[in-house]
Amino acid sequence: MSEASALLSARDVTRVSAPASDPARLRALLAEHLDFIWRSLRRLGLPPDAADDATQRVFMVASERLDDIEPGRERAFLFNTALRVASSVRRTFARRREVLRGDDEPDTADTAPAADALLDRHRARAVLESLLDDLPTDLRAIFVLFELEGMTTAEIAKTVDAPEGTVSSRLRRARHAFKAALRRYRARTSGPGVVR
Amino acid sequence: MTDPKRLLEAGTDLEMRLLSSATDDAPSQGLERRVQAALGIGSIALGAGTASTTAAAAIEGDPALVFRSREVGRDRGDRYRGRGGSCRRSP
Repeated sequence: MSEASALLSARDVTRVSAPASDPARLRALLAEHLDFIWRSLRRLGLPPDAADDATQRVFMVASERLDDIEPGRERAFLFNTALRVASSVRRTFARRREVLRGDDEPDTADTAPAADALLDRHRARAVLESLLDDLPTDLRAIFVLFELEGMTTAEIAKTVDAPEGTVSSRLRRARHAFKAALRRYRARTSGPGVVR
Repeated sequence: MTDPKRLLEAGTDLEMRLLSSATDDAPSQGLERRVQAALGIGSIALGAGTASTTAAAAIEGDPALVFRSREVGRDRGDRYRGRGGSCRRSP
C-alpha cells in the first residue's frame, strides 16, 4: 500500500455509500465538479494518489449531506469539504514524516533543485509545491483559486463564503508570502545559471 | 472592484514558469467512474463480496455478469473494485 493511500482509512476507500437521496443530482455534481475538486486537492498539497482518495471522500460527504447543500452552493460546499479533507490528510502526512525523519536526514530545503533546472516542468512543479507549502492554508486556498484556477475575487468570495474585501486582502497577503518564499528559494539556490 | 492581473500573465519569468507547471493537472480518466461506483451511482458498483457483485451485475442489466478486478489487493491493499476491472460471463 502506498503511503498516500494509507492516509485514508480503509473505511473511506472501500465502503459503498448509502444510496443517495437524489442520484441524478449527485451524478451532475460529480460531472461538473470532479476535476475542480481533484485539482484543488492537488494544489492544496496532496500527491496524486492521495488526491484521488480524497476526492472520493469529498463526494462521499456530499452524498451523505446532499439534502443540506443549497442549490447554487454546490461548488462552495465541495471546496470547503476539500479544504478540510486536505488539511486532515496533510496533518497525517506531517505526523508520518516526523516519525520517519531521522536526525541525520537533510532538510528538503537543502536538496531543492537549483533554479536553472526549472526548465524541467516536473521540477518546476516540485518547487511550486514547496513554495505553496510555505503558505498558511487560508492564503493558499485563495492563491490557487485566483492564480491557478483563474477565478475572480467575486467568485472566490462565494466559494469560500467570505466578503470580497476579505478575499482581496488575503490574496494580497498570499502573493506577498509567495514572493517571499520564492526569494528565499532563490537565495538558497543562487549561483551561475540562475533563472531570473 | 478590479482584480489584479494574474501572476501567470503578468509575473516574472520564473513566477510564470512555476505557476504554469501546475496548469495541466488533471485527474486520471478512471477517477470519475471510481467515485461513481463508490457512491453507488455508476454503471459499475464496487464491493467486496457476492452481494455487491450481484448488485453490480444487476445494475449492468445482466445478472450473469460476474466482475473481477485485477486490482484487488494489488497496489492499494484495499478491497476497492471498479477501476481497471475485467469481467467475464459466468457459466
